[in-house]
Amino acid sequence: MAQQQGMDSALFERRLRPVYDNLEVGNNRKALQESEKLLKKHPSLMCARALKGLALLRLGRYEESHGCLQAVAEEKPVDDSTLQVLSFCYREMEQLEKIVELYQHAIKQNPGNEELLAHLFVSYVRVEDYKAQQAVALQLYKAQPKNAYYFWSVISVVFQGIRGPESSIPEKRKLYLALAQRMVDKHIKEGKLENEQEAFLYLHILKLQNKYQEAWDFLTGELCAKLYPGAPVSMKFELLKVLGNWRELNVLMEQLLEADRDRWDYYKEYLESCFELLKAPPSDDTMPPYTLDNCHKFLMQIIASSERKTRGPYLARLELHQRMRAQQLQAQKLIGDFDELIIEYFKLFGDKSCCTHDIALFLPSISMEQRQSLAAKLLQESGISSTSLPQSKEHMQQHICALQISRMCGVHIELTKDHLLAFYTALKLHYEHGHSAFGKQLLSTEMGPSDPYALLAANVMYDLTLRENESDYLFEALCLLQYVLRNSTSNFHVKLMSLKIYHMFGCLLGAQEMYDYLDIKQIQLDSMGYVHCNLLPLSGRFSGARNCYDATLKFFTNSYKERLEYIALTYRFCTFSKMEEFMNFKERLTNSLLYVACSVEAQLCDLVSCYGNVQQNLSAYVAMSIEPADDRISWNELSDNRDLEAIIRWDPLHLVFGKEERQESYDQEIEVLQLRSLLLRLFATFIDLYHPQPSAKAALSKTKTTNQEQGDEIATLELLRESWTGLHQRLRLMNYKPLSQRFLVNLLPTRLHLLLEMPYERFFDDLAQLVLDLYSGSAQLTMQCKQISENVTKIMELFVQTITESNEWNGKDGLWKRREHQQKVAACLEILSLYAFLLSVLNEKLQSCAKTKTKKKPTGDGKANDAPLPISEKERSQMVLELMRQLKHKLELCDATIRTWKPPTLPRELSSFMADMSLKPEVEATLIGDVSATFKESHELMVTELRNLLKDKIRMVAK
Amino acid sequence: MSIVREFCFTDMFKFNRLAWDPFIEDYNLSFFVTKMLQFPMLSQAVLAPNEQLMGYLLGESDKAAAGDHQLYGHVSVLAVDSEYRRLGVGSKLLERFHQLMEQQQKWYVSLYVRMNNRSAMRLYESLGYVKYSWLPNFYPDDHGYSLRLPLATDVAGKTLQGQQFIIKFYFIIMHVMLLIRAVLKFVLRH
Repeated sequence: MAQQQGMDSALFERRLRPVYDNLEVGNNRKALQESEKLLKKHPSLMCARALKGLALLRLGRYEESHGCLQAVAEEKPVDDSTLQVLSFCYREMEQLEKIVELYQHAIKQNPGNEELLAHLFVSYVRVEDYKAQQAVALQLYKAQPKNAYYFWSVISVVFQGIRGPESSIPEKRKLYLALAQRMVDKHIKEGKLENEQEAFLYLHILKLQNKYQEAWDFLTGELCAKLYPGAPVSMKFELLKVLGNWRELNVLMEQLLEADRDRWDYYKEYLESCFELLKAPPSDDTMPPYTLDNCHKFLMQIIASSERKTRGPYLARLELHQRMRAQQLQAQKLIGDFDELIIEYFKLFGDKSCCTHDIALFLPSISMEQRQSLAAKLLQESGISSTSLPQSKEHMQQHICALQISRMCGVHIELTKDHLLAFYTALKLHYEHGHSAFGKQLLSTEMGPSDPYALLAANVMYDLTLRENESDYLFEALCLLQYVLRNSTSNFHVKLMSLKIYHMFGCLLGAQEMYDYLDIKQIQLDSMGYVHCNLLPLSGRFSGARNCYDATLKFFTNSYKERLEYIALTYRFCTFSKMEEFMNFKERLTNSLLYVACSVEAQLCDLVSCYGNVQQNLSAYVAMSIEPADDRISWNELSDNRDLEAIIRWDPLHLVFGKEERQESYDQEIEVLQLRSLLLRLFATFIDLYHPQPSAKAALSKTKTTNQEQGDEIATLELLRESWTGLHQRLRLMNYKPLSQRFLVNLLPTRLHLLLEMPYERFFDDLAQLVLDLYSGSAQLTMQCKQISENVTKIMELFVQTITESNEWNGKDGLWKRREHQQKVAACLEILSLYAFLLSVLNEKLQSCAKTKTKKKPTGDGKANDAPLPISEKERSQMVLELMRQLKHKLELCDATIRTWKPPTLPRELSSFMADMSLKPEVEATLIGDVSATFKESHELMVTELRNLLKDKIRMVAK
Repeated sequence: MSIVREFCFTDMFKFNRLAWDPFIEDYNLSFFVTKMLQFPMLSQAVLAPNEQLMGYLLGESDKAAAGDHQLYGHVSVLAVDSEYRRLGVGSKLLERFHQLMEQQQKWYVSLYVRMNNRSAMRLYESLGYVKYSWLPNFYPDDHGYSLRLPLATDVAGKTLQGQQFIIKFYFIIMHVMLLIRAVLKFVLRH
């Protein structure tokens, strides 16, 4: 090493450059060659060896890479470039502790080196060891008294108090926070506080300790004003709130509102302070008791003195009305009639699309009757009746707003079928009129101004479909939406709604088209994945689904490594105000339910659709590195990142239970994940028993360890089998209700009920027994084989029955049960495919065993002596062959049946459709034709894909 | 009518309606995270009374030491939900950002805009932004402009001096570029 350090580092840098360059552009093979070339001349050059390790790692040659890196690490390098390369490798392999060790060694040889210490600090940050962080930060500060380092140690102390292992003990938490405060106090005394982030941190520490008065004093003090002039005023009023200083808050809010009259957050605080002042006893005699009159006067004065009409004070007045009523105060007397106020608001702001959301805020506070009469008044106010049309874009927006509110008030839901149909027709007409009158000169990036009519129409048609149990209405709505989409290509509401309807009808091709059209990327893959990705498992297409999972998983894995570096970044930028927030965000991404569910489904999907020979399939299986013995999902930390509000809705407020429905669906999704991950692990134990994972394979030569390990495998298998039946038992007892399908926007049912209804539990339970019996050669084996083949027959029958049923439904309503049937068919095929894969593995193993047995007779005899007459390996092999023969026969029957599966019949008579639109008959014909073609094509694609799957499986079990 | 606060990380789970606007770039996670971590006080979100995200702005500013160098602020993203347009959300966000930049005594604020984004151009011009240079093929599907707004520090309007003449002749330039590209393609093919 000494020799190496002595050499000219610039020279080495030049020689290493080609290796770096090749790695950068991803030319790993060339990088490996270059590094080897360099190592021939300078065999001890550590950085070159580390780079060789990195190249090997990137090439997937893990064992060699590991050896190479290990050797370098053991020499305890100190030069920066080697350390950087090594820590890069460890980050890639997610062995973050090793980076810590690396720098610890380096520091020992180079105590007090600022750069190395900073690296060590960051390596502790990555593993979230706050205590060690603190120590290193102090060393850094000693080496180089920079403010940043001092505050690194302060924040590390804070984190020990609020996030570290001791944070759950109140006394410890208190201690740490007090220490952190003392540290900053000292710094303040010495006049060393420098910037806004440091001031923020101090405030934060005070608030964490509930020292609000101190925080207030600091915030309003001179130092803070100097360092942190941009401190959000929300800090001020939140402190006043917790301090209960309502009078001051009241004055402050009035000042703020005078300056900015359109701030809802200010009004909310203002009103709260008014109501608190009302409650407070008149403390001193100089002040008259507070009345809400003052509040009302203030609002009226703002309204009167504003030149430009802003929504703020009007909404605040409505809020005041609502709050007064909630406390049985005389709202009407002070402010006036509620309906009148709403109508006034509507007159002023009804031409803005946000008006609906604004008015909706106040609807829950009035009775159903009042809501409906209010809706009628607004509709009347809009001045549009069945015989008149809106005269301008603004007028139309008012009408739209009135209609949306009537739906929210539950007016539409009570109409009769004929009325609803007439209403739908009117909406269509309004859409078309609005489109031709006001929507012709739009940019392709703008949404059509009359599009909301069509969205509302689709919702109405869903209500009809639900009420009449007939899919025709919704199909018509889908055609309408597709028509709208042609006029208004950037309207994502229409795309989302069409996507939903396609899924409802099991039309995966249409759904995929809409999903692609939405162009969901980056973090949207997480928050919006539920509209498509989450509906794909068991939808009827395995490989199509797999591609979708891939795109989603790629986002998560790529961003995972980046996320580690961001935390380091928060320290580099000293962004104390964002650290906690970022850590929580990072955890939410890492534990996203969608991410975990997608990875499990992707693995199952791979097992179902593997199509190579046994060896290829097994190596694919090994590459998945499923370790059935340990459950890698941190169930308690899973996070629900879905953005359910992205989809627009105006459903009757009294029938929408957003929060409850969200929770219900989330709970069920978690149960589904439990089932699926357990299925995966259980199935993996079947394979592992016969084909031990490579790590175990290395020990194969020693019979004892092998036996022991296989004992472990058996124990795992039995344990998982128990959990499998236990889980099913629990889920049946839990008696989950299917998700409500009351409105178009509601989430589709989860797969929970499907999974419980289909014979998964029984099949894999029996399969576990078969695998065990086959392994031990138990006498019950014949019985078990019979049992399994009966199960297979049942599944085959279910498959045939579902398809027959589906074909029969075609006579009544081709779409109503389509999705359900497709799911059942897919589930049957999933079970049979997994079974086929297992049989092929068992067969291969038993055959090779039988062969080796005949060669090495003495060992075989010796074994047979101490066991009570197990069935011979040859016979077992025969049995497996027989099972394969039976399965092949059943799969062929399935294949014959699936060929008879007819595409869904669609409502041909859409006579009413487009009658009111200004469409030419040709346009109508092509539109409906296109939608119908999508359904047909989707069915054909699915059948082709499933038949290919069947063919692969037949090949797999054909011997 | 709105709530104004710092844009926070979890807002990214909820900004879908804005992200689907065809004029909004699909920035990746690292873009957002680095901006937010580096300039935490410069990112803001505006929420509707029902807590829906109406719009947000991510800003940055150069922290380099002063000198002759003209320090500036830059608007990295400005997005407003289409349902909340024409309510002054965009100008409110920008004005707040300008205020912050004035406080920090920057010389000017800059931003990029698509050539086709007419309504955005109208907004910026109404606030005093001036076209500074034309950026051919700046966006995958469009050309862009770089706009600048001189702040109070820049008394003499120095920051606009480098304004490129090509703005006036951008059509000529564009056509020349297209021609060159066509020729290049032709040459490469043969």
